[in-house]
Amino acid sequence: MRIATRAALALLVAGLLAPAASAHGPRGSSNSTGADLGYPRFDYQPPAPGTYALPAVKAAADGQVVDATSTRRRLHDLMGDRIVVLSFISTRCSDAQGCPLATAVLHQLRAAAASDPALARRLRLVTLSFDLAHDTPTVLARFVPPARNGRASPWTAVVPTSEGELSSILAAYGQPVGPRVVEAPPTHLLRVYLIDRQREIRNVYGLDFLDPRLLLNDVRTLILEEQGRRP
Amino acid sequence: MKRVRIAMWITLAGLFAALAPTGARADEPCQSPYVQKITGEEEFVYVWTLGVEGMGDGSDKLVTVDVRRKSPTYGKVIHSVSVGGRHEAHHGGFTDDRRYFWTGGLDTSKIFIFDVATDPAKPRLHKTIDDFVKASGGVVGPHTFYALPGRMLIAALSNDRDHGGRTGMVEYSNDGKYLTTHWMPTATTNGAKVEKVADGYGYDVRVLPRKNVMLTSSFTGWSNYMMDFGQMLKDPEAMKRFGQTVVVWDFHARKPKKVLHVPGSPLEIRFATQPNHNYAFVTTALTSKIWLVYEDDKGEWQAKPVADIGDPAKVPLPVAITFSVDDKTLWVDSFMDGTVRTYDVTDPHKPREIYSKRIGSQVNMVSQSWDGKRLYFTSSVLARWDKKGADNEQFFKAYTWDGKALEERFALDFTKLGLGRAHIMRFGSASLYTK
Repeated sequence: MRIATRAALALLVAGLLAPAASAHGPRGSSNSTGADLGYPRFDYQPPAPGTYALPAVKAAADGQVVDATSTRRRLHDLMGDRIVVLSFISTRCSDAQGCPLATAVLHQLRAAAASDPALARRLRLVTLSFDLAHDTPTVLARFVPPARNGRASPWTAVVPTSEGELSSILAAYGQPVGPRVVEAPPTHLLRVYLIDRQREIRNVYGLDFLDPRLLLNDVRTLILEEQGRRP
Repeated sequence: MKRVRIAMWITLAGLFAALAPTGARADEPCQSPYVQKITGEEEFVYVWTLGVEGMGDGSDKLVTVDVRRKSPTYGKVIHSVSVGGRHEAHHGGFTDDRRYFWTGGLDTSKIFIFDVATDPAKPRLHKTIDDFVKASGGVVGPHTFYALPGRMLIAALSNDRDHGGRTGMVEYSNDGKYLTTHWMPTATTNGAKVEKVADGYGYDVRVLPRKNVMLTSSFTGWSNYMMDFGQMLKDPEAMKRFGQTVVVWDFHARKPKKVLHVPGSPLEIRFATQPNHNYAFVTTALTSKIWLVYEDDKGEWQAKPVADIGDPAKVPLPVAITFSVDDKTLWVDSFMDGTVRTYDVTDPHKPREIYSKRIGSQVNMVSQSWDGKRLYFTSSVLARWDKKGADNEQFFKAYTWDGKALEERFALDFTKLGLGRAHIMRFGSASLYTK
């Protein structure tokens, strides 16, 4: 099962990493990003970082979580002084248009940060599981890719400390998740959040929005904004 | 309390089931792709209804019509929730999680948010936003409500400076917090490429996510839509104040890229659904034409008239349209002759009328089910534009479509029922959520 999931993830990542199509390809042309994988196809050139505004949607809520080392932490402490991409998932979700897709996009961001020290200094990736029945710290430890070259990993996976804590976090972010059961991952809507250093949510991504190029440009837009550059 | 919470999750479970990529869907096409779809056949139709002085409580209201075939109340109004007062109830749309239905009043610019998740048969008023004009910096007349993840994009019709057609789009969070305003492009603002004129008018908004393209259309301002229709027709200056543009936007950046010249007040925009179909239809109210807005072979967005609607010389006033998910059939309602016309648009450059039917003395909105087998019609355009006397029929009518003809299932007389002027329709469901 895990092998199958990893294979699917690898395919997704491969699809995401495929060369982007021309922004203005001829009508009816075949395009790149993941169309054959059931992944939404993006056929445009994303606007350049810093050329558009990302108004704050609302405050990013705090909450008590536990990480892959079984350490209890506050979500806000985890965010630290970084721009955060927060993804809500269940590690046993195998819907190609669900959690594996969100995780594939985070892999893409991690790869971008690995080759861009300035980005790496500012970016934190957080995967928050809403599957308390399955996603123990041990499971999370297998989920997050290890640190490279002795550097701290920009990616942390956590799970809320209790059902009550989870409910408050989900409600605060507006992340709809169905009833939690032991037998299967909870039903849910795909949501990924971009959070600035002031802990304001600056964008929310659903399936049709989750273009890694767009997300990366949004992160860079926030970095430019911190440097005083506004559209 | 516990029972309510269980019901809520049953409801959400149905919404999540919509993540499955295949299967019949109850929802009408052409809505925001970011709104969760519900599976199966629609059970309720919500009708945002204008109040009429002296009729019932006289207030604008959200009416629930039961369209469950086996229900003992099939074809009946089973619920109505008034908002108090008349605000020129017009359009509305669901939030992305489909838990709330946002509706607008074109006159007072108030926004009424209904909870449709707790009990889908009986929506309740959840929240009212009454500072839309002030918060937005002067935008008037919230019209189209278009869901985005975590937020609502509202395309408006007018402004508080001259009550003309210059206007903007306004974004709110799902919580009802004002976020930002995007003014429609004019000749001197926003840097868009302009074909002929940039009038700054607004009406509808639709997005094609995979192309990062947003289209907006243009109607008229408060001074016209709140004027008596007959009086307006006799006022040459008023008749000059209609939109003539469709704007192509960079959706993510919310920046206008090109202002297309589409004279005659282009109203509702409907994108094709199928992959690689990079086009949309819009109809012009005053010139009675179907326009195709499309990406050409060079990747440039263009607009061109592709068909007449009825006899344009008789000004049938096309209003609402709906476009089937197989991209083959376009339905066009025209208000003055109360007729719906059906076009085969398999070749979008050459629409061909294949059917027409008179629905009533006047007709405005049309909604179709995802499978295209059921269509619903309502009667009202605007309180001061609706016909007078016996021609002022106010109805909700349900039909089936077998590919050849419309057959009436039932009709509701909104005047006899003391409800008011029936306008926008949206689908709801409850029992299907439990599957």
